[in-house]
Amino acid sequence: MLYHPDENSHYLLAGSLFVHEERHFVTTVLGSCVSVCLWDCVRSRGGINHYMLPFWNGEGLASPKYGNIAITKLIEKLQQLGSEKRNLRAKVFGGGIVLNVTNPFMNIGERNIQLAEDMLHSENIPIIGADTGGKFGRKLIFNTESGSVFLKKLTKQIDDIRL
Amino acid sequence: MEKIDDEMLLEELKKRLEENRIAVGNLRTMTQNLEAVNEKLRQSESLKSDFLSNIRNEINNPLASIMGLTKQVVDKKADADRAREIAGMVYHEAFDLDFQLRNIFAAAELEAGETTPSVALVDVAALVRNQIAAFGHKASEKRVSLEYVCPDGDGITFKTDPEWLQKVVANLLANAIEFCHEGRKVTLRVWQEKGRLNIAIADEGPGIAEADRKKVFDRFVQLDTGVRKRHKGHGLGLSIAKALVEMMNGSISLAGNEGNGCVFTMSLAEMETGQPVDVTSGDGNEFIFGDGTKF
Repeated sequence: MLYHPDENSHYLLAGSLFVHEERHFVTTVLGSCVSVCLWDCVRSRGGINHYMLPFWNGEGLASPKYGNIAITKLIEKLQQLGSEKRNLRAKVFGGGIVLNVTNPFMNIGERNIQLAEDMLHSENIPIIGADTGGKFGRKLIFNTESGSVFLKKLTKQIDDIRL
Repeated sequence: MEKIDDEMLLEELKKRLEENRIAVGNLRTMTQNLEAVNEKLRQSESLKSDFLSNIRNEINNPLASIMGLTKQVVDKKADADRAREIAGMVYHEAFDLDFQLRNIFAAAELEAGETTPSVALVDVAALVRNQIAAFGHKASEKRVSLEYVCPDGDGITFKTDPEWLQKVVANLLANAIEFCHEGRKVTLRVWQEKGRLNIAIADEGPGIAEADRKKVFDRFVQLDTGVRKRHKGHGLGLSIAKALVEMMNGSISLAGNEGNGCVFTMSLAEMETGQPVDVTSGDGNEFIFGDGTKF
């Protein structure tokens, strides 16, 4: 069984990340945001982030609301728990197309996906599963122990989700 | 194959040149944006090193006075009245130190992405009144009066994270008192509208120029810096307030106060413990990635 309500569960807010040694079921809802799930295939543990924008531009706090910070921090946290980078595997979700964009070159969802692919590539972490883009939101549940992801596509338009 | 005459060729050439011109224009804008971001990141880095050198004084000074003051009591150099006076001063120094340290920890947690909410039904009026009481001594030091306005009465309850809300109110209030002119007034207004909780904190200080209004939410930014710096703190409070408000499904804005000073207004939506949005499945699309087998 993938998910049992009595087990450790965690709701991941946009702009935060979650890593745990024990099995947790992490739920999050994505619109144009992207979540990168990293899983250590040797130690059977993993972590997940949820970022809203690709790059921190010096505004506000340098938090994992921004992809370049969220991905680096997620890798670092797993390393702090003893994981080795070469054992990490990635899955990438989200990055839906926000409707009514003024400039198609600046689509946030697409840029969020692009950033995950570029950064994971330069970190030599293989992406072994992905479900990105499209004009809908996603709800996902990530099992930090098995690395499996349960994904549900949402009918709600991304504009309304604001995540 | 279709034959192409000169006119069509020219037309096509024109079209492509135009496309090229637009692309170059876009590229130029993007380069300018990049340069601006680059400059901002450079500034942020230098502010961070300023912070590290300033923090020494900001922590050492209150600690030194706490130790000096308590030493007088320990050495029995103070009578009962003086001891009471010393206790008051020690409390104020410790209050400042505690407030600043909490902010540093909050910023560190937010930057690490480690903040998780614990949502509860919050008695907003009680929370705001507690903060007004906690900062009362700061206000009376400056002879600033604190006014609490709540047209909806004291019964407002709201589903949110009480600790986060308290941190935001504390920081906005501390900021308003710090920048309010002596002998003037800070007003806290709380009201509910369309299911949202709004809190506005207005001061009667020098105000903030329109061009600087966005900057105040950046970390380590204080508008008066260097030798002219007259205000305590690290420039973390407002960046923490903004980050927390955004995590609480809200927004925060800054406007000019009528006449003088400025108003920070935050507007929050209620938080849910589990699912923040309606999660109906789209045409039964349910996928399982790597279920059972290893990844």
